[in-house]
This record gives sequence, structure tokens and C-alpha cells, in this order.
Amino acid sequence: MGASLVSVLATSSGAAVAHAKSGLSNYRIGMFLEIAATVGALAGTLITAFVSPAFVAVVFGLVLLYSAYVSTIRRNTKSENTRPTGFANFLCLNGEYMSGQEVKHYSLSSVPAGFFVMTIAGVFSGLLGIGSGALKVVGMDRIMKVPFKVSTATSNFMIGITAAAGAGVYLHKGYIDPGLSMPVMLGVLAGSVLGGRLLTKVKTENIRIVFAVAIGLIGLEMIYKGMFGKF
Amino acid sequence: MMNTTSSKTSQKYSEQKGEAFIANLVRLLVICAGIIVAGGGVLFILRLGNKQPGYHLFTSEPVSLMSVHGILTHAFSFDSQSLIQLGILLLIGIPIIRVFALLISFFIQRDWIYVVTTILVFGVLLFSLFGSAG
Repeated sequence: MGASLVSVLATSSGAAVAHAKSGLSNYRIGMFLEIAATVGALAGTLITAFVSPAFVAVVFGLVLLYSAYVSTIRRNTKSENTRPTGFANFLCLNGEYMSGQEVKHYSLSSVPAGFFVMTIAGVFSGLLGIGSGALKVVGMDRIMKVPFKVSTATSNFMIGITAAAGAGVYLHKGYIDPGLSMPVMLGVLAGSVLGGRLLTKVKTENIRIVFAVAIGLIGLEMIYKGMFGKF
Repeated sequence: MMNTTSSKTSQKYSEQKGEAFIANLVRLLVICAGIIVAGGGVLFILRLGNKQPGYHLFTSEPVSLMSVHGILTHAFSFDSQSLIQLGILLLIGIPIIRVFALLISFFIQRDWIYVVTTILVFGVLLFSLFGSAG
């Protein structure tokens, strides 16, 4: 258990090395949404007593499958052309990032809806003990029209925060086994540093597809685990 | 008019400097954490050799590994497990330091909405870390 949390931390921090430099993470979006996610997570831990995790796992799996499908549909509005909305401007959430050699500006829309989705993602986190990074990316990408690369980078930043909160508790409770965590951390760190660097270079379409496949698989795994009692 | 433009640009500038600083800080911390854990890992493997770990049994970690104080004391005597835990501790610290650095960055930019936002998030972070330590 502790080792998986360590892996989330390693992913976040390793990728952060490249993301922070490239300016892909939008910290304002991340901070703002993280409030929703953290509150949601706290709420989630509170309702674990009343809801069956297996059921939630299946629901989450279905949500992921749907998200995987939806992620592959090309968006009609490119994020660069999205007209900013009141909330987005008020909260200074719009931004820009480097793509190759050019600077691309982007704006957000449907901020309250995005905030709501983040809360749900947080609840799933609290209930199932997972990071819900996938759901966060989908929320930002589909609902708030954030460019895909920015979504992934920002989500990475966010899950690092949530994981850090959880890891402190785990450490105190003795759930983190150094023998197990060590190879996990080193491996994931190496991978995520590499992945973080690749993000700036790879075409968004390709990342989208890989992402959709990945969350599709996770969705299936969730449903399987939920149905066959691994939760 | 001139004032707004120049204050906007200087805001941009300080934000970029802030982000560059955070970027370097994160990189440094990641490298440190990685080295410490790798060092501990090597020692760990050398000492334990071919023993199969009993992962099917869930046993809690020894008390010395559960508190920050304990970890620090043992790490300096090159106990491999404490070393690894130290690296992990550092890893846990990275997002926390990032948030804190952002807090300062927002403060310098006079972006009050986000100063409050960050304080909120930071508060929840600290609470979940230390609030349940009782």
C-alpha cells in the first residue's frame, strides 16, 4: 500500500523536473482544483463506512471506460480558440505554453463544472485509496478545455500533493516498507523523468491515444477487481 | 495605462523567475532523494543477499522507521533501511516544498486570491500529515 503511494510521489516529482522547466503545469489551475480534490478526498474517507468499495470501484471503472472513449474523439474547439469565461478570467486561470518553438495561449471554460468533477475525483480518491489522476486529466481536458499536455502536467502536480498528504500518514502507521519502496521509487523516478521530458516533444494526438488506452485498461482492471472481490 | 502594462510585465517576469527557481529546486531535491534511496538500496541488497522477503505477510515497520526523528537518527549510522526511508521522506517533502514555494511566488506577485488558495491547500496538507500523528 505504502509502496504504491511512493510510486505516485515518484511519478509526480520525477515528471515535475521537466514540467516545471517547460512551464506546462498551470499551478493556478492546479491549486484551485486541488481544493476541490482534497475536500472531496476527505469526504470520501468519511463515507467509506457507508458505501461498499467494490461497488464504487466498478462505477469508477465504468467512468474511466467512458472517459477513454470520449478522449479519443477529436474536440471541436481547439483549446487555443476557446473564448475565456468569467470565472476563468477572474481566477487568472488562462495561460500559455511552449509547443515546439511557438507559444500557445489557452483559455478555460466551464470552470464550476470542472471544480465539481474534481471534487468527485477527490471522493473516489478517498474512497478507493487511488490517485484519480486519470479522472483529473479528463476533467480538465474535456470539461474545462485545457490543452491536453497542460492537463497531464497539471494533474501530475496535483496528485503529488494528495499523495504527499497520504504518505505522511502511512509513514507514521508503518505502512511504508523500505525494501519494497526502494526499487519502486527508483524505477518510477527514472521513468517519470524520462516521461516528463518526452511530454514536450511528443505530438498531442499520440499522447491522447496512449492515455485513452491506459485509462481504458485501468477501467477494466477496476471493474474486474470490484466484481471479483479484490476490493 | 503605462503603469498597468509595466506592472503586468514585471509580474510576468517575477513569475517566470519564480518558476525557474522552483524548477531548479525540484530537480535538486529529486536528485538528492534519488541518490539517498539508491545508496540505501545498494546497502540493503548487499546486506540481505538472497533472502526472500516475506511480502505475503503484512507486518508493520519497526518503530524506528516510523517517525522522522527515528529515521534521522538511524540514517546517519548508515542503516540501509533508514537511509531509504530518509530518501522517501525527502520525496514526500518535494510536493510540500513546491506548494510552499508557490505560496511565496504568489505572494511576491501580489496575487492574493492564490495566496489564500495556496494557504488553504497547504493547511490541509499539513493537517493530514501532522494532525493524525496523535
